[in-house]
Amino acid sequence: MKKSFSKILIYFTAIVLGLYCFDCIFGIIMKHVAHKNLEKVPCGLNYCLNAASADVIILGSSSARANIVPQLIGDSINSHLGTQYSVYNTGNTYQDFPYFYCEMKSLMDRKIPKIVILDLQPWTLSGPTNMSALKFMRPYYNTNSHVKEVLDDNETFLHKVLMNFEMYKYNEEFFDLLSSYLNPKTKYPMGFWALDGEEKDYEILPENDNREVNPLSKQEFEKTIQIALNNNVKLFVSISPYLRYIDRNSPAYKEIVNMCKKYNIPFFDYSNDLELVKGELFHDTMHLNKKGATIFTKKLSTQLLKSL
Amino acid sequence: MVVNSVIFWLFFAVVSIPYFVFFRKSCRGQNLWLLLASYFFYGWADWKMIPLLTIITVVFYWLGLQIEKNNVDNPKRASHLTTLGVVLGVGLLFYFKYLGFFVQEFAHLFDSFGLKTNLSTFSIIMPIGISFFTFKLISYVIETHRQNIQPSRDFVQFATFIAFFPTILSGPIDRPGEFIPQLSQSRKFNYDNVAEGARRIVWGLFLKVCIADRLFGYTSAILDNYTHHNATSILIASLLYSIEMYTDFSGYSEMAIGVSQILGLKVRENFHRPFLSQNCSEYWRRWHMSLTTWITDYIYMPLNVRFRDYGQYGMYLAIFINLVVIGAWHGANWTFVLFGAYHGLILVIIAATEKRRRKFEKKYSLKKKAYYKYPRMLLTFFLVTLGLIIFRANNLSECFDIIHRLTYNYSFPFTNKTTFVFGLPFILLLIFKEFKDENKYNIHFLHSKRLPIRLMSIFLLLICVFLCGNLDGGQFIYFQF
Repeated sequence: MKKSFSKILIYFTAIVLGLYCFDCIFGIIMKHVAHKNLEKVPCGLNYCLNAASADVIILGSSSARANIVPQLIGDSINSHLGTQYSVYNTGNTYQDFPYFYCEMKSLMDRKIPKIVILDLQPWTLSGPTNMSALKFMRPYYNTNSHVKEVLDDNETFLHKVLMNFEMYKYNEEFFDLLSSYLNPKTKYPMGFWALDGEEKDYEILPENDNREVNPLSKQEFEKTIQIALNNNVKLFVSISPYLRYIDRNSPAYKEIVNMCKKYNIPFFDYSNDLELVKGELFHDTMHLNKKGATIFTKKLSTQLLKSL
Repeated sequence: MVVNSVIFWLFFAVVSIPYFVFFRKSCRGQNLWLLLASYFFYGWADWKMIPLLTIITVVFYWLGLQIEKNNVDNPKRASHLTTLGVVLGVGLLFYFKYLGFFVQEFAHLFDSFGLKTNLSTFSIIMPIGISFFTFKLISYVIETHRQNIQPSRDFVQFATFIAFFPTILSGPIDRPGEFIPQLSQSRKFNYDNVAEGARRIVWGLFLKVCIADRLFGYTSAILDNYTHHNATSILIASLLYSIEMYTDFSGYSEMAIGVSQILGLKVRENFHRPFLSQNCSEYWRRWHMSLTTWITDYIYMPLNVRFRDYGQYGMYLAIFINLVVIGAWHGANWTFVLFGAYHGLILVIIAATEKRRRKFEKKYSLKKKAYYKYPRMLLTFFLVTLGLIIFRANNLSECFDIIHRLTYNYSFPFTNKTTFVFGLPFILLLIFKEFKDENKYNIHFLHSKRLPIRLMSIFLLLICVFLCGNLDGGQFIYFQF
């Protein structure tokens, strides 16, 4: 038994040591990659959390990123107000309130924006906390104090222990960082990701969301609003169009409306907008294509100007 | 506490150290320690069901002893006791798994005739793993009655067989004749067992977190919202679901077998490269083998004997019933029955045409020809995928709707970066390994004769797991059954 045990122990130690060395080297490489990504053309979560800065910020998920054209928003505001406002779209895949909170806090640390457009999905406030959103923020645990705060609040003790390992931290996200390092996404100016194609043979089906409002999401929504208001940021809440019929009686939707009313925040809802809910304007059921995004952003800008 | 979680591995370390250090010379001590660990493990999953598990273990232990006592002196009584054991086992399954479903179905039926019942919300909480441990209990009384095994006279030993923690939640379903004798001798810490166990655990973990959990994101996004997706997306999701199902369940089985092997206990194999089958009959001999052999031994064989007066048709009927039972075993839903009937029908067709097919294959020497073999494999994969569409659907109308939607609206599919970037290369690796193992090439990366290659393979697989795997402890599909 002793012989077997020592043999196993040697191999086990060799593998663990190998993994530890790999983890350290991998961490050094990824730190370099992440740093270079920040210096290069802005894109992705890393830039949004750690470097983005503009007078007008668009905050949201991938729908915001694909649907709202920052250039058009900027042109419209600047020509109307005679300003030179810069605009940046920080929309990112799968993201919701934990990210919005970190993003808002991080923005405030760098430069307080004048205007924030918070693009929500009608179901953002329902269902459990979006763990994917947290997972995508793990690589920035050590570089962004607000990310650390949110992850420490939401993740288990075990996850906190695992955060000491680079492979765990960069799990999944390393691919995005490496690919944008090797092939910088210059075609996405101001954080806007234009999508091509159009949805054919579509059906507009009802999107019934009967789930209760998640109290945690509601609390985070309120916190995000308060950060904006406390910093004298003009906040707007919008809902993008979807190739679905959105139920406006759902608890989550009603909560968004109520919250906007409570804090007197202009609310623009483009779901079920018959001018926009057309297959030829959509890349898929959730995201507009470039043509759709242009039409939508123009409509949104007009509304914005009325409220400014 | 799922086997792909860190908690489980901490638990396993805590169990293994005293098991090999303090109890290494006492088989009773090892069994008792394993039993305590197994009850703790089961209690972690569902502590409220521990009394049930304990009571039925005591009852079946007593039944085993009584059956053996009466086997020679009073065979009629032994037979009655065996029937009682089977009825009790099936009854438990029926009560916890199917009663709620039947009550609701009857309630719907009465409601449709305008007779109001208040039973439509009737439900019973199902003990986790019940489908697996009741099958162990039933096989124990049957094997004792058939005098294939001596019933265990050591309660701890018997209870350990029933509650053995690596297999209680999702199998493999062990047979008493193979497992209980292993508990009669103390298990030593053995290098070969630990090394092989570790290899199987790492491979199982890789299958689960790098393939199954990666595909889950895509398949659930599409198949749970199929009305919002085109036929191409539904087709891709359905094909990927077959792979997800296989890697999820075989990943679990590999880890359970590996953990058992480290503890010095050999449990049944559950999968043998099912997607390399050339027809559905072969597929069922390679898929969830511990269940299919159980049902073949205890349902198909007796039925085949009973129906032998009807000749070939009797055999077809036995095959059909066998597959319907396998389908229905998965749960109380008509989709599972239809899934079983679908496979049953295919197997009946295969059985009915077997002679002619063999003659044809022999005439043109087709058996090993690539142009005959691989299209057949593909066809089997598509047939299995169609079956799994039925299996996965929430109800029959959803299942027919999905199949209907596969017939039109083919356009650009929905894509999910993480699924395709991380999942697909690993699927290719899996396919490569499956073919390599099947054809016995000499590049066995996990079982190479060279130690550096073996170590490097484990090292690389672990890196894939940590870097590309989904580390959020996704549940196993088969836990729900």
